This record gives sequence, C-alpha cells and structure tokens, in this order.
Amino acid sequence: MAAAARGAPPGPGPVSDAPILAIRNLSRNFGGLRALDDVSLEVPRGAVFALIGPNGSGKTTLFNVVTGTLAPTSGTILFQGEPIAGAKTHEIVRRGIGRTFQNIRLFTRMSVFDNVWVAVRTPRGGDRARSETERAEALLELTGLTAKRNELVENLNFGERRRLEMARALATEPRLLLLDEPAAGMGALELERLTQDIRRLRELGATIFLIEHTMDLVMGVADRIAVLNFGHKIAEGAPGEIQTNQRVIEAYLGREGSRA
Amino acid sequence: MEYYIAIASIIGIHAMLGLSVYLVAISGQMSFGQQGFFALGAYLAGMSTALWGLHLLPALALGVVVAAVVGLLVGFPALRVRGLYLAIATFGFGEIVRLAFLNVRYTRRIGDRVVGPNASEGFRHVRYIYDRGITPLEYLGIILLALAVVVVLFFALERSKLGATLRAVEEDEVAASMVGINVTRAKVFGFTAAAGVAGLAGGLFVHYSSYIDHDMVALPLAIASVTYPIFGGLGSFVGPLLGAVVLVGLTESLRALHDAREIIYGALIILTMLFRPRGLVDEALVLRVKGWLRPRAVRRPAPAP
Amino acid sequence: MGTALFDGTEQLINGLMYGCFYALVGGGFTLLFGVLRRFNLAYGSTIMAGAYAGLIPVYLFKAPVLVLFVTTIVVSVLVGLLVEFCCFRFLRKGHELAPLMTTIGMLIVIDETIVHLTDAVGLKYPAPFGDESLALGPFLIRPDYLAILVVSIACFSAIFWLMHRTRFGRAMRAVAERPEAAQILGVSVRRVNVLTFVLTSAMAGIIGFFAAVSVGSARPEMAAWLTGKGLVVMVLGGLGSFPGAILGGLALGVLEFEAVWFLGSSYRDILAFSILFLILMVRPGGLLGSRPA
Repeated sequence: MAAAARGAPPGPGPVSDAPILAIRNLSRNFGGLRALDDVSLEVPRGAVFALIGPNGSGKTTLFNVVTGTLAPTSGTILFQGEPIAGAKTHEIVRRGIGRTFQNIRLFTRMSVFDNVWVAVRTPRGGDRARSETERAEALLELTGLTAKRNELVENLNFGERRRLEMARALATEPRLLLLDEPAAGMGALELERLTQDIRRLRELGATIFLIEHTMDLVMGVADRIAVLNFGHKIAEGAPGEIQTNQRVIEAYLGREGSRA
Repeated sequence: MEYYIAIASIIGIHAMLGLSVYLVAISGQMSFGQQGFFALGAYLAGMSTALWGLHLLPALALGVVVAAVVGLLVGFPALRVRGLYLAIATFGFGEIVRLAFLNVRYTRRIGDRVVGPNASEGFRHVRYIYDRGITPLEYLGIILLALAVVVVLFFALERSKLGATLRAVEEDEVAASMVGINVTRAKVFGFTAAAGVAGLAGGLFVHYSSYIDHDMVALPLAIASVTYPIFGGLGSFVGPLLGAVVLVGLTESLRALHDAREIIYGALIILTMLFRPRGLVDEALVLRVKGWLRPRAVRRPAPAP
Repeated sequence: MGTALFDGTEQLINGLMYGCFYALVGGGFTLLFGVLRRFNLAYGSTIMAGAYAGLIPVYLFKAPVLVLFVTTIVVSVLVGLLVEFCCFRFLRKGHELAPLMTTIGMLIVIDETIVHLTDAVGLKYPAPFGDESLALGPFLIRPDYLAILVVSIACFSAIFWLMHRTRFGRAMRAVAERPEAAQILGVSVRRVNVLTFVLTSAMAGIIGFFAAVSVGSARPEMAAWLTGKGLVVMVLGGLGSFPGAILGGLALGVLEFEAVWFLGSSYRDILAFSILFLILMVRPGGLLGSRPA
C-alpha cells in the first residue's frame, strides 16, 4: 500500500506527480455491449480533469465504475495508490471520493439542510472541532442556500438544486470530486458562478474530475482533458492540444460543433 | 367503561404495529410480515409467563429479543430484494411463522388446564394479569407506558442523524451510498428494530387477550398494520399513531353501522391514497408544522449571493 | 410398480392438472403486473365476486350451468373495470405503494360486501362434471380437474394468440416493455390498461367458476387463498413473465400434491410459502427470468 500517498494533506499546492486516481485497462460490458473498452487514464492530484465525448460514449459508466455503483468487468482502479475497483460505494466515498449526478439525485422529501447534514461525517484526520451541524450550515452558506435551509427540495429551482447537490457532495469531504455534467441546463450567469466555484474548490486543494459538454466551461477550467468515444479513450492532453486534435474534432466537435 | 378500556388497549397495541411497519417504511421498504414478528413476540412472551413462570417484564423483553433476532436473520437475505418483491417475501415470511404455529404443540398441564401453544387450538390460558389481580385499567396503563417508551425512542430517532440516514436510503439508495451511507446496514437496522417493536406489541397483546392463535396473525392483521402508517402518513411517527387511533376508533365507533363499517374503512383507504399518496401526515406537512413551531429569531435573513 | 411410485405418479398427474388452475391464477396476476407494473391485490376479490354472482341466476331462475359460467365472466369483468377506475386511473405517478393500498382498500370493500350479503356462509355450487372419478389406465383422476386442464390449455392458447398475433397484443407488449416509447408511437396507454383489465378479469371469471366447482361451493376465504397462490406463482415465474407463470403454476401444483400425499396436508401451505421465500432470495427473477434490475 502506498502509505505516502494516503497521508497527503489537503491544501493548496502544485500539481503533484503521483496521480490521485489511476485507471488501468478498465472495461465494462453490458451483455454484448462494451461500454468501456480498455480505458486507462490518470487524474493528477490537485488538477481539474475533464472527460468529454459524445453521448453514449461511456463517460457516466466510467463514473459509475469508479464510485462502485457498477462493478468493472476487468481492469484496476487505484485511488491514492490503493485499489478500489469492486469496493462498496459507501467505502469508496469514505476514502474520499464525492460525486454529483447528471440528473440531480437529491433527497426530495427532506429539507435542504437535512440533505447536507445527512452527508456530513467526520473522516479520519478530519476537523472534529466543528460539529456536524455547523459544517452543514457552513456548506449551505458557501453555496448560498442558507435562506432556503428549511425548504423542501421540491421548492428549489434548477440552479439551486445543482448547488445543493454540490454542497452535499462536499459534505463528505472528498479529496476527489466527480461532477457529472454540472453545467447542464444552466444559463450564462449560473455558468459563470459554477466556473468560479470549481476554481475555488481547486484552490482549496480538491481534485476535480468532471464530465461536461459545455466547452466554455471545460476550456475555462480544465488542466487536462481526456476524450471517450464508443468506450475507447481516443485522446488525452491539455485543452489546447485537444482543440486541435483531428480525431477529437471528427468524433466530437464535428458532431456537436454547435455546442463547442 | 370496560369497553373503552378495551378499545384503548387495542389502539395502543395496534399503534405499535403501525410504528413497526413505519420504521421499515422510512428506510424504503414495505413489509407485509410484521404480524410474523408480532406472533413470535406473543408466543414467546406468553410461554415465558404461562409456562416458565417469568415476570411480565423479562417475558416481554424475551419476546422483543427473539423477534429482533429473527428480524436480523430474515432481514439480511430479504433486504437484498426491494419494493414489491420485498412486500411479497415478507408476507411469505409472515405466513411461514403463522403456519408454523398452526403446527407447533408445546403444552403442559397446569392444574386442570392445558397451557402452551397447542397447534390449531391456539395458545390458551395466558393468565398472568388475572392471576396477579392486575385490572384491565392497570394493564392499559402498562400498554400505554410501553407505547410511550417506544414513542420517545421514535422521537429521538427522527431528530437524529440515523433517522435522516434511513430517509435518505428510502428515497434513493444510490445517492445515499454516494454520501457514504452503508445502505445494507441502514436497512437491516430498520428491519431488526421494527421486528422488535412488533414483538413487543405481540407480547403485550397475548397478555391482554390471554389467548392467541394462528388466525389472529393472518393477512387481515398484516393489512391493518400496513394501513396505519400509510393512511396516517409517512412524514413522521405521528402518522402511524394517528392512523391507529382514527382507524381503530372509526371501526369501533361505526359499530352502529356495522354492515357498512368495513366497507367505509376500505373506501377511506382508497380515497386517502388518491388525494394524499404519502398519507395524512406527509413530509410537506411536517416541515410546515416545524416552520410554525420554530422561533422567528432563528430565521436568518438571506445572505447576499 | 411400487406403491410409493404409483401414488407419486397419480399425484403428479393430479398436480399437473390442478397446476393448470394455479397457472391461470398466477397468469392473471402476471399479465396485469406485466403491463401496469403494479400489483392488483383486489384480483382475488374480483375472482370471488364473479364466482358468487354466477350463482344469482341459478338461485333465482334455476338457470343452467352455462348461464352461471357466462355470468361469472361478465360480473368479473365489471368488477375489474371498477377496480381499474377506483384504484388505478386517478392515482398520481411515482408512488409505488399507493396502488398496493388502493387495491387493498378495494379488496376489503368487495370482500366485506360479499360477507354481509351472504352472512359469510359458503354457497353450494353445482357439480357440472359429476362426482365420479375417471379411470386413466391404472390411475384415478377427478373430472373437474380434467375440465380445468382442457379449459386452461384453451385459455393459454388464446392468450398467446392474442399477445403475438393481434394489434392489441403488440400494443400490450409495447406498453409492458416501454410505456413512454409506446405512447410516443401512438399507443394509447390508458386503452391498453383498460383492455388488460378486461382480459384478466374475464380470466378471473373462468378461475372463479373452476375454483368454486373444485371446492363445491363459493366461499368467503376464496379471495385470500387465491391471492396467496397467485402471488407465489407470479414470483415463481418471475414477475411479468406469462410463460414463467404457467411453469410456476404447474410446479406449485405438483409440489403441493406430492407434499400432501407424502408429508400430510398441514405442510402443504408452509411448503408453498417456504418456496416463495427461497425463490425470492435465491432467484428473484423467477424460474425462467434473470435477476431484476
């Protein structure tokens, strides 16, 4: 076990060499369909890493496998140097991976506050000084939802729901935060705010792994981009490289050029 | 007076059954098998006092523990399936327990009476409260005291993180596990504790009626137990209590109309589901009431975005 | 042939014949569940209502058995439509338990109405197939069981034809698999739902007739008994699979008859429910199906 990697303190710092998440030769089949085919990639610690690709290219499947919602058919996943493939979701979360969902999955029959509070826990080495209630309040403050704390989720608008889901994911104190299309359905103002939020989270030391279609956001925040197409990784590199990569333009930008 | 004491006793016992189903329901499961745990509690507690000469309190405790342990053993495999599958599986479990008691014979002759589970004859002569000269009113007090203890536990649960955890699991197991909740553990906890509550209700019941047989723990009891929380509401433990009071009270007060009584009962369930699918006391109502009760000073103004 | 083997074979034949009856009950539950994805717990009551109503022309006019049979079916269909209207049509979406409760409410309403109208006594049913056992080689079989076998094979054939050779059948399967997609393709989901109720309720009439004939009377316990068996068969077959339900019904019939013969009748029901519980734990997709999502 890579004990050195596990103990790395959160906090601002340079992008380190040891990847926080290393995916090696990962495959996942659904019946005869190969949703992920021998995908390998490494998310550097402290980076904003974007995963792009056309619809149905396997991006969300990759997130589901990383978070243990789906078991991989083959391949390994190392988080902070330790294998997590096949582990239970709640164990993976407790090791420090948080996530939001493409189709926003909040606890709609609970209050806004309870949604965050239920997610707060004190991890090993976490800040025990503040009570869980205070931490939940602080996250609501951070996401601008304090005024809505006693509302049912049903009464929130779309942007507020996205922010609440982000607050809930942050409540688990993740070292690595997976965001599944966080900008979907957002207007220009909300998009600006989201961009700011992601940059700020990065400054606070979190690593962000996001799936996104909105190229303004991806090009604005990502340090590194990988491209999936039909379950294969077809390219990986810095934003500038991806924008000029011929295969990517064919597979993705060509087809969804209007959104680019 | 006797009559009202009897009704109040039944309400207290059925409220506990309703709470038992409710506890399973708020972790997202529906059980049609709580009458099985009720039967286990009743038979065990009854045997403890009538055959083994135990005091009422350890007898009830034994019933609770046995029901909870069986709940734990059944819960682990059963909770792998969910929703309608679990509803059927739990009903299957309830029927297995009932049919087992239809066949079990474990009797002893005490004086001129045959005491103990006697297969289809049922379990007669659980005479603890008569032998000790406990009046029906005093026994009602014992039932209500036990109910009060259970209610206090539910009150604490609903305000605790554990309560929120169960509700998160109810709503979305994937999202719940994604905030670090061990979904299996939450569900098995809910199921085990609920089995214990049903066992307590059974133990109290057998001493109240001095008699139990397999027919008393069949489908109608399953339906009644499920109806209390679903009619009364799944937003708070007040729901199943309200459900038991209204529905038992209603069926009793409609005795004058006795032909139409059960029919009105059925129609009432249908109408409630059409207009309030989460029951009378649903989550929205609970939040609104909490809003009224909260002192205004605590409400903070909206911070600038 | 040894006695045990002989008895076992006779029970196997009886079990298969009576299993056809269970298959019909489970098939009714299954068709409805397959299309609506909801349980109809009032199905047993629908069956019972038909069985009782069929006696009305017999008691009033001494009508022949054929009239009784037709009345059973017609009344069952009417009750089925009432169930659809009261318990399903106006329910809001997204509450899985609500239809369970509304149909329980309906079950209570129907059962209690019948109990009050008949003072909870069983009403004697005619025995149109006679009481004499028929000899099939060395084995003795009951004529009403044979009738069940013939009628249920006819029913299954009709349903397979309906599902695979008609427009309604195609629409039904489309709604069962993807209601939203079916709606986009111009299938009226409500129409399919109502027609499915008509179909399964007509089956309920047939079931009610044979249930009462095989017991010799229409009884108030019928509803709970049939609901229990129907659920077991549906689970054995894998929820929503009609061929599975047929297989499940046959399996349950055989198991029960062998169990009664070799273990005694008190173990018959406990066996059925133990199988139900085990299958749900080990193979929740049923005998033919795969694991549900």
